[in-house]
Amino acid sequence: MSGLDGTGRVDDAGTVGEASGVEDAGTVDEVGEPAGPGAPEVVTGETPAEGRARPGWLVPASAGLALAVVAVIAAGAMAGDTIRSASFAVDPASASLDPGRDAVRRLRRQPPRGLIVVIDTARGRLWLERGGEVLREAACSAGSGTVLVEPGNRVWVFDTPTGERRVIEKRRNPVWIKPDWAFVEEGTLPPEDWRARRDDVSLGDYALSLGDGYLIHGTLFQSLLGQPVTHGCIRLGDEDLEYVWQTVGVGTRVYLY
Amino acid sequence: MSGRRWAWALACTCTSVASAVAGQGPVDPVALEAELARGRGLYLVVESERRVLSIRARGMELDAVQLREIRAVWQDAGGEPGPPSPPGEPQVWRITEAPKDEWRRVVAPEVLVPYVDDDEEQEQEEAMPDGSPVAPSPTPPPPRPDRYSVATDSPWRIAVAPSVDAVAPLGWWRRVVRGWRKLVGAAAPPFSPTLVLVVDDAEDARRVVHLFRPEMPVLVGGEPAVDRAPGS
Repeated sequence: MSGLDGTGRVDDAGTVGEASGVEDAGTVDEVGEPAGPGAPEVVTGETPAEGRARPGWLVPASAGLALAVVAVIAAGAMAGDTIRSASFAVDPASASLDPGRDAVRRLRRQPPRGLIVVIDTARGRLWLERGGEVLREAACSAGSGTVLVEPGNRVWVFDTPTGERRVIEKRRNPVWIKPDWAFVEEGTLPPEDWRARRDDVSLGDYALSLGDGYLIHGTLFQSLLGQPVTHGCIRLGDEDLEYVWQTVGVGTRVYLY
Repeated sequence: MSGRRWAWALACTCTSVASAVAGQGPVDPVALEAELARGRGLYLVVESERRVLSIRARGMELDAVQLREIRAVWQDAGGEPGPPSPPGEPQVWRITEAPKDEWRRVVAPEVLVPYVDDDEEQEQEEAMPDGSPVAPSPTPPPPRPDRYSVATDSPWRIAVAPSVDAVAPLGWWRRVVRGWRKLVGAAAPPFSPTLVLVVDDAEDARRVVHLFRPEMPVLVGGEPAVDRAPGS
């Protein structure tokens, strides 16, 4: 049985050799302290006592004993409870993208044709693509993942949704009616008066709605683009937002991941 | 034989019998993906040949994470029949739990003060001394984990990590500790069979952690995508 080798590694199958610890005792001798029988004669005058005080056989013997104990523990205990590992691979016989197959035809029908928007929420990138050609790549910001807890009450998680969505509405000069969380986050009670919730500037010049309150919109703080700092919406810089707003129509599919 | 092993054996038997009754041949990964691609959601594909974790929607690869290796790790209980050999044919697993959310920043004001409209105007003035907005300095979010393991609706877990040892007790010392605990009568924690996706770069593990959430389908042993999107 192979298993425990001189470097202390264990083979992939997780087996540990019963006798390997004994074999390895000799290798420890080679790398152990060089306190052999002749040590006192070769040391310099400042520290002669150290070499003489320690019998030469003690260090390799101790190391060998320790290694043997460890090997026995491992071998004995793991004999009936082994962790195994193997490289993963599927049967290649089942793999075929033959375009004549029904499953392949069904799969090929799924990707959208025409303009799409793809958004990498983790790395803060947005692509506008048509038929495989990238028309625009832009830095964007997505949800921060922060959890906001209202005292004794509601909890919000600021994640950007993933999956396929569609642009369901386009707005110029969008007005943001601040939801409750925008006030709770600032440590204030949400006001009763809706006029106190009105914000004409934060969303920039354009907004594209993806449904459920999620928007692609502008930002006052363009230096933060690329960082995950939003409450779930997608923020774009002014020029990129204008390009996207002009290019993308209602119904365009947006893929967020 | 433990109850868990009985369940595993039963599941394997049922799957085989169902396939045989249905007259199915080898499992077709493309057919499995075609079903997943009908929905609006994302799905993940573990491709063993290219060694990638592919993020897809509608049959389109949105992005892919290069893997150094894909390793199946399981506990073999000496001589007892039961689980499990690594999956040898394509399967769809659904994640049943998300990685722990310890990486998320939590904002929890202890008290809320009444809103005063003047505050906002004052802040605006302070923020714009020269007419241009000053970006706030957001609190840097805690780093996302670079190693995690999630349960699936199969007997297998899926782990993402920079090394196999990071998520499985394969390291020499961890084996000794496990052996010692067994010798002294303390039961070693059982190790669930795990498919370990070893990433080349720890940052890759961090950037996909949010996709390992409940209900996310994972096609294990899929084919290359029929279409590519710009992020991939």
